[in-house]
Amino acid sequence: MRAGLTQIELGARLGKAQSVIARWERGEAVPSLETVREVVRACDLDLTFFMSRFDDSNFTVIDEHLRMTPAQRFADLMARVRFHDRLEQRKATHRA
Amino acid sequence: MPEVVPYRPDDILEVLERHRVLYVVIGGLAAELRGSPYVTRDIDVTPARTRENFVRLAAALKELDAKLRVPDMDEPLEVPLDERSFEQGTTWTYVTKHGYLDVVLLPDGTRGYEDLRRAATREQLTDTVTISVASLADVIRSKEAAGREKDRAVLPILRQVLERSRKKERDDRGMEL
Repeated sequence: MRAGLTQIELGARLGKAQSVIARWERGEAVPSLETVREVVRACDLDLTFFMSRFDDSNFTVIDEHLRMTPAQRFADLMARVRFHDRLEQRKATHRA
Repeated sequence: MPEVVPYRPDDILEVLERHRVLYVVIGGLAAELRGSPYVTRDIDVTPARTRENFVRLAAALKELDAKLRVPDMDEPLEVPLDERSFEQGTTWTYVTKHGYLDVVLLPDGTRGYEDLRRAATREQLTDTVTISVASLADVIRSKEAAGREKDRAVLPILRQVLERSRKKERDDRGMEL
């Protein structure tokens, strides 16, 4: 992490077990906002917030990707790579 | 270096698998496999740091005709590919006959293979390629720690993917009840 602390060192500063920090890092447990503030301060950092308009315009494409399995996503990626390669070949032929 | 570097992740991963290299796929490709719509054109892997694994990795890189990419140099460098190479540094950026391959022993914000392996999952991508893919939370953690411009640019959408995937998991669990 940016503060250069190990999970054990951070745990000691917060008075929490290393396993708790590990669970946060793995996303298995979600600390409260107050706890996040304490964590940030324990790292000698500060947490600032600002408001912006919520943008959910990416959700449709994200949800479409999430409906696929990793294998389907990889197949989709390979299809896009082949399409890109064909495009590049055409461009090269055109230039020649 | 060829004018256009190919990008054949299937071929690169197949070679790594055939040489039985222990590694976790990280970075942009891991994010794509986790659902990110961002497209990447290189592969980042974090291998296990054992001598035996470095021997396997070196053999795989030889088969891939890997050459070292050096910033500000037009041509990649031919470098010795043996297990001792990986003891000299922590990040190796190669161009191979199938595309770019970065070997990152200690990705920013992580403690390497053993750290990433815990939350990684095995994913079968093709008949011949089954790989360990880093969790999206770990990809985000590493990009946050790296703090480079290109990493910061993709972080908002990666966080959205993580949020949506957790929501989907909750919804799917709800459907099963």
